Amino acid sequence: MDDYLRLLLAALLGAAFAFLLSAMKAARDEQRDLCDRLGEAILETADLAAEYWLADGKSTKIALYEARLMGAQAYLARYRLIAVTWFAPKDRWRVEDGMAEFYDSLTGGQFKVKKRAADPLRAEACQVQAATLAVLVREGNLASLKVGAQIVRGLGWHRMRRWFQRLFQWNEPRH
Amino acid sequence: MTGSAKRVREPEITIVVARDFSRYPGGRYKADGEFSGEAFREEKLLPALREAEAVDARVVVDIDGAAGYPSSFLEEAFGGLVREGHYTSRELDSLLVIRAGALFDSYRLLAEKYIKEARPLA
Repeated sequence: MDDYLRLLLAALLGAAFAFLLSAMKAARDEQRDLCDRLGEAILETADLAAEYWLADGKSTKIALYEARLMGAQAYLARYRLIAVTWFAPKDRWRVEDGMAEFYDSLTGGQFKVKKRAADPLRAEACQVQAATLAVLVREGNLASLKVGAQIVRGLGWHRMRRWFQRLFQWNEPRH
Repeated sequence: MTGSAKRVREPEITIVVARDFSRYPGGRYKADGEFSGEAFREEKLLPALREAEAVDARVVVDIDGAAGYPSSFLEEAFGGLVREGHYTSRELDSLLVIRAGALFDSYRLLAEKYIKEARPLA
């Protein structure tokens, strides 16, 4: 009887372990997909911005480009929040800084100015900033998927650190 | 200890952009449409800053709740304070706070960068 119980326990433990591994893999895959989608969205937005900045203010499609760019900016702002939940704080800050630089190239300068000239330099800046940002997202994602990072996250280290920060009013510098 | 500590002004004058100005901020100049950065600076920000100076308070601009911000709006509204010679970036350090949640933190960083990098027009 004891042998049967031991066998049953071993089988249950094995099944539980297999389920846990399967759930972890599914979560990792979902996280990877989220970051891949964010990278694609960044590059698509840069392409849209390049079309906008290569047109001058007289183009009939300007208003449409402007609306789409504002929508794309809003999409990236929100999508970023869900895609970087696994990132370590320093990688999240790097993405945030990179996002700010990207917004600057996307809708800065003479954006929404009626009689502006075409701005090829800004079109190029959009592409370069997008490439930089997409790589930052990929780097943060790769770092978050390492085994050590997953253990740290599983132990709730970042949550505990934020709690201590609030308790002792300790402000961690961004850089 | 080197340098001077930033002076913290306690009373606050709060401007919530989405509530007090527009949920859909526009572009840079008044000539190009409604709710421009120029209009925000002249109609909301400058009066609030002058009032805050008079009563030794600070101005808190809450940028949450809007649909989004063209960067040109932020540059004209905030960078314009220095560029147009109203204030120096050092004065704005203690006089102006830009507040944002996680969603709009990138916009806050941009606005602060524009203030820091703006140079007064000759």
